[in-house]
Amino acid sequence: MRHFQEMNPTAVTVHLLLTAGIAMFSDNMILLGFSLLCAAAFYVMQKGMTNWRFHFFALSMPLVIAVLNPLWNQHGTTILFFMNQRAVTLEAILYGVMAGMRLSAVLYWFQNFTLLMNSEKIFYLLRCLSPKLALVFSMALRNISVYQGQLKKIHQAQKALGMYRENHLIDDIRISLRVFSVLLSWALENGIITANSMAARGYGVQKRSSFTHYRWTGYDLVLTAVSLVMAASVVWAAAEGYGQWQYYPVVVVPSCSVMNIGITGIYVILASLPLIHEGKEILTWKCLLRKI
Amino acid sequence: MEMLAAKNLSVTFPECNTPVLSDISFSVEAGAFAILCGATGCGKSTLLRMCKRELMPLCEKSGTVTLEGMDIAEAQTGITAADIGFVMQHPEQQIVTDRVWHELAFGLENLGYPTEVIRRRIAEMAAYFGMEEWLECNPAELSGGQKQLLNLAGVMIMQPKLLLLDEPTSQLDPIAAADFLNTLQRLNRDFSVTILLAEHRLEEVIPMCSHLMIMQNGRIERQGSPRSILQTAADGDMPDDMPAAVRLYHGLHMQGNCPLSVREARQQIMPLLSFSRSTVPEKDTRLPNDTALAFSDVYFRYGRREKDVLRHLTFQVVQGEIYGMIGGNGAGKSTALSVAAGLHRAYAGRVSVFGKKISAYTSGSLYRDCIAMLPQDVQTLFLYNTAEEELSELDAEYRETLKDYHFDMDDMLSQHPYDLSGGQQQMLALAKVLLMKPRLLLLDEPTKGLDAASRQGLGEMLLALQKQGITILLVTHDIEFAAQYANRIGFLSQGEMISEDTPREFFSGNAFYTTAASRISRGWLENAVTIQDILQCLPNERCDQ
Repeated sequence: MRHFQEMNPTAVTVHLLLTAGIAMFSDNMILLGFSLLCAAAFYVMQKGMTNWRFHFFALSMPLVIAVLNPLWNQHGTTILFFMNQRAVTLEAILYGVMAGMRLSAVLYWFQNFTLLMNSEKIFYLLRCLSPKLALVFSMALRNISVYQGQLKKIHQAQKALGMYRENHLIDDIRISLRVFSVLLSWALENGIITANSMAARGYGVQKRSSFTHYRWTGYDLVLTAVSLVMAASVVWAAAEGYGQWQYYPVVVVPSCSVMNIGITGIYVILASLPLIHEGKEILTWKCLLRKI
Repeated sequence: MEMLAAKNLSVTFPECNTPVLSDISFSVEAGAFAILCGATGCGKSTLLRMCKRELMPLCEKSGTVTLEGMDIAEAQTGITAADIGFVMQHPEQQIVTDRVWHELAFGLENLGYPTEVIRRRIAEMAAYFGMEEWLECNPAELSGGQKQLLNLAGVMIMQPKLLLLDEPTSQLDPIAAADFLNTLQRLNRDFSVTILLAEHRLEEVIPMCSHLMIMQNGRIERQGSPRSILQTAADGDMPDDMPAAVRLYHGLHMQGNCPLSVREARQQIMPLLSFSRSTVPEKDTRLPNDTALAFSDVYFRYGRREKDVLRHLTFQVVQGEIYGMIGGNGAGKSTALSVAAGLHRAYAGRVSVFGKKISAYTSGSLYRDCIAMLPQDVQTLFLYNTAEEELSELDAEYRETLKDYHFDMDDMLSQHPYDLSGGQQQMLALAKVLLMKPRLLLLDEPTKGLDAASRQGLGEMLLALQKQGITILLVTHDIEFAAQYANRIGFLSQGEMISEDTPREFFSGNAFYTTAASRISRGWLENAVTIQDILQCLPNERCDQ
């Protein structure tokens, strides 16, 4: 059983960025509705029915923006009523709902991204982009934990020298400066050892290779290829003007042509790939269990 | 076949008149386990670095070093990096990255190996060194011994022919050190990796090695098989930290085969001896009954949800004594010390210093004329560019204050504290904390990384301090040191004081956790804990010491 989050981080990232990216620039309310639905369903599937505060925050977005948008936005022709001598239009309210759904969907997608990724995986992505930067990053992370430990030791040693009073603001500042200065010379002196250790293991001898844990399986490749093809066709269709909604001055919903429905359909399949994958895994698992 | 050889190697550092290494010639066979020993500052580290091109210091050099007949200075860079592995002293600072698996991959990545090869080698190394479970860890979470094993594995993964090690166990506790040395022995035996190890803790390594080189003042004085060298060595040119068996052999001025281990000493020497008495007289040291430090029923833990580090800890340090606290790793020794120093507060129980509750010492008065603590890592005390500034910071009249203790440090005052040797750094740090005029001195692992001469210097300094009326609480892994200098020993295990006694009673009562001399003399003598004790029990004509 291989969960969606155990797939190659690049494949997962490509899929999520494409799905969220399209939602970010789309104004198609139906497409956004499905995007929000898929993202929220996957989130619930991963985390269970917890984190109500996030759900409440994210799902109230369409409502909140639908209320707020007409206050600033005077466009649109269907005037519903006047408030403080400003017209509140149906179009502005609908546009607010759409913007809220967009925001909410993107929030859910990024929430999913943080669920699926951890520091190790992000580090892997960084390595794919620039191995050198990734090494510097890794050394920096290591040094943070080493310095923290040393800082504690130095603080205790200096405190036990008894040069400073306790609970005394100025002395607290003085001892901190002193500890920092001790740490600095310690870090410089000990950095030489690390440099020697790197040189001794051949650092800088030739071009480095970059090792990673994660493998590319056929499945990862298929997922990435399918995501790319689907996203490309949605973007192409949108660029050609299919599936576009118009809000001002009047709301114009695109006609029920094959292209207009197709673009939404393709996006829905793209957005539900994680759900389809998890569902398939659960079914396989159940079938296997029955065979035992 | 010859693996590593040097011919007439001389090395002089820039701006120095005397050479660090002069006219060194040696040859180490393939598959040998060679040991380089000698006092601190005799040039061991420089010699090792001359054998590793990437680490060669800036120097004027004559003579050659060859690896399998090929001059190291002319070899290809990739070859010397992979074929010669180098492990240094400090476990922590040699680690480069923030994941264990990444650390293992580091050397292979440098040489441009493809992912598949690296993946296999990591799996291989992790299985051999038994570190599969911590592959995903951050090295900061590992213990010192595990870190040093990681450094070794990070070098072994490049499949070197020759392994150079510069005092790799000096920062480890005895158990971790023995573990590390056993791993080395296994690598040497199973894969015939040639090993050249610079070491000053010789008790365990001498019986393992096949080739011994003794260095003195930049020269190799003697080299050859350990038994033949140790047999013929005169007392003068032997380092002080030879195994107890060898010291006993020389103390007795014996002829014939020299024993190297406790077992050999028990088999070859002890049956030949006739003792005039079977117990060593206990030294009569009367101390006043006033307590300097008292723990009663002390409990401590680092976090609310964590386990107790100190449990029901009760003990007293009497004024004027040297109290040695020993125990295994994680027994809570250092924690007990920091509670005594007021750096952590016990959540239950009472800690009193000179009869007064520790919490009654407010706003730093605990550290003025009362308690001083020498931390394990003495570099945490150093702030200035010269040793002199370090001392005059606390007390401009430091010479006057320290004159009773006879510190021998005139030649180090102008140096940078980090440029001093381990023993000198320890002395400087000790001088610095003594300037606070403590009546109770807390020492955390003061002998870590010191060679025999510095250890002896430190021990004598402690005795001198004791004479001045300073009470000393010493936390240490070094049971030989504790046996020699402490008045009483306390044995801590899992945060509890298990037993307290004089060193003689304590170590003769233990069968495993005891000194080498006690293990050698068990069955013949009742309470000998040092080689001196064994010699004392002989009839006078045999005893020279």
